[in-house]
Amino acid sequence: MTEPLLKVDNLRTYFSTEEGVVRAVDGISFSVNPGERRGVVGESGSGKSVTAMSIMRLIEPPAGEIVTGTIDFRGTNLLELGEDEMQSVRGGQIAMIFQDPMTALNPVYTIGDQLMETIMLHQGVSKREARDIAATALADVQIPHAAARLEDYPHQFSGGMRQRVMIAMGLSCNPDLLIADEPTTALDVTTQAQIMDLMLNLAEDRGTAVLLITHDLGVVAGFCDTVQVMYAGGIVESGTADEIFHNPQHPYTWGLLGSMTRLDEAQQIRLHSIAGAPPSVIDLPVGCRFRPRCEFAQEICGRVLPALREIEGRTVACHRAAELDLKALDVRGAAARKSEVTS
Amino acid sequence: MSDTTGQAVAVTSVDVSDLPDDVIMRVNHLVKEFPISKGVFYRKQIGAVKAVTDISFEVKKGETLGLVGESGCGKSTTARAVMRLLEPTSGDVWFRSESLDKVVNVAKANKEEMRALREDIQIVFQDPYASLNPRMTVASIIAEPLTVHGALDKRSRIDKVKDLLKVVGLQPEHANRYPHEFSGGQRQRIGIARALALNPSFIILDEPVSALDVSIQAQVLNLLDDLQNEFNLTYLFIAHDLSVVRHISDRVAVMYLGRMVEMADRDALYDRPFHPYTHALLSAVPIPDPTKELARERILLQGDIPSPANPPSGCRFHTRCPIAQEGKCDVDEPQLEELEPGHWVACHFPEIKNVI
Repeated sequence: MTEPLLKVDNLRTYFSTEEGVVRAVDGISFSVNPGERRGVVGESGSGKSVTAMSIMRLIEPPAGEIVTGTIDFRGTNLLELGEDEMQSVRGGQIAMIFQDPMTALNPVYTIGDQLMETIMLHQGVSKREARDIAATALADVQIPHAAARLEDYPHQFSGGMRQRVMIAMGLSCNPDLLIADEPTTALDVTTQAQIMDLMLNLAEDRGTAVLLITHDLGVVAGFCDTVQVMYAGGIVESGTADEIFHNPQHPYTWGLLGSMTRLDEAQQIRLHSIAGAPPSVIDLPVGCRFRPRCEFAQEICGRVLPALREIEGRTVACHRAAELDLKALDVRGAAARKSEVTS
Repeated sequence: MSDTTGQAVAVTSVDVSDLPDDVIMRVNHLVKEFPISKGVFYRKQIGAVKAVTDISFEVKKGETLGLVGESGCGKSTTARAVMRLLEPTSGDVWFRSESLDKVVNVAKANKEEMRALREDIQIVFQDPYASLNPRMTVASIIAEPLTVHGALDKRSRIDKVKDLLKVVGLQPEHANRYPHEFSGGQRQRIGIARALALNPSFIILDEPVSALDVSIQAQVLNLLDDLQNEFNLTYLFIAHDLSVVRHISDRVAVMYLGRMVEMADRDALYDRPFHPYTHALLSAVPIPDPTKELARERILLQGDIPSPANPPSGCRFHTRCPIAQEGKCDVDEPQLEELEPGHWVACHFPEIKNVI
């Protein structure tokens, strides 16, 4: 049994707003093993980005606060580190890539300056050495004429190229964990394919663990070993990618997969639709947070918040997971079944 | 200005009487260029962004035509130009108008005709946050087209608004609220209700579900399906998401850098694509199934999309095309040809490839 690289336990990150306390992340626990590629999926407001920000300790008080929990990284609780110590973890051992590479890069410094800053800070090398490392890092992410392009400014790069720069920056110090927060959401689909392919190759070559945060289940299917599904600040289900996609146990995961349009689906069938919208994280429902939208909800679901329990090798937070046979229910509804009969 | 008008393309005939009964719109040689100017006092045009270059297609009554491509391919410009939210640089847009009871060239229609056409052709925008006026109540947003077109008296307008809210799955009580009180999905429903207010026959949907979460996307797509059946609507559906387009469209057209590269019936396009750009595009779209993803082969394109101000010579895709041949593809611009019945492809070396 390998020791997990990252172990998050009962993390709660709250924000205080005029309307009330936003329980953005509300008691989540999970771990990432060395070299594991883990997907964190959920819709807007599910708490997936706040999870990443919490691990990086980028939550700024007094607006936001990590209320409880521990974040163990290689045996050290990151929440107990001083700001200086955390600074050397950030970028050095844990790197992060953001959704919008234009806002993540400083427009008035060259790409080279920004890459070298990170490298000099974490590797204690001279400027000359840092330049060489930076050029290699750019070449590794397949930017042509890497050494010359160090002199260029962010606006001289296209969106896909900027995201490559971000990946180069993230991986330049050989981190153990890379957190990628919606790294391809702002990109076109052919560029997305290039970037995901690049990240996969680099992570595999270097054995870097990746926490991929995304709303796109398709991207997760091609990249991740394990997946955790988040809903309204909590994890509702986690397991291997195969289990989650082929045999979802939580009604939300099941409904989400059923509501996706698919490239490989020939017949025009009616999409499964999850009624309503996610709850406000200020005013969470009592009991299971998915209950108001769940077609299988029973009396207990309105009273008790279900804990993550182990069922068939993965963890599910649903009172009825053990008795429901979701696989037997065709999520795509009667229309799909009818066309199977006729074809 | 345009160096491409006059070239032979798929649909050459422009005769009105030629518009078959089942065709609601025929777009012929549509061109839209945006001038690039220089100078402060003496503004001088120094070039043009060729957003849409010589596009021709037909939309059949009651069908959904999906228009797909990546950012900058000209799909939204095409949508806006066919309803003259943008003035086309050249080309014709023949439209069978119900309110005028005749076929009109939208591109050259006069003011009165245009006013009537605005009742026939409506549009739903991508961003339901930007396309609804935050200071107007939902009732006044939905009733505005009715007021502008002088349809119905005030009392009937209120009834109509309530009907429309019900049709799009909202409550009549929502009429007096403001847009900020609604979620993204509900706002998009309001935008759809506004588009339906004048009983249009043709609706342009410009990325209508791109800003929405997956579970909400499904609700809106199902609604669009229902409305199409109920009101016999024709959709021009613009999107970059090829999965969504496969779900909703009857026929699909693929654009690259202002040009149409392939057009076919939905399943033909997805199962038997000819054009190397369509291959790359389809192979790049992830499928939510790890087993399939593992088995699939991605066609990774090199480099980035070139600037539409200075498109490549010959075939516009040749700079990134894995099968381009020197001396041919960089010189000759391929025209759309019908390789199978209803399957149009603009490529010198078309080859069927299954990439899903």
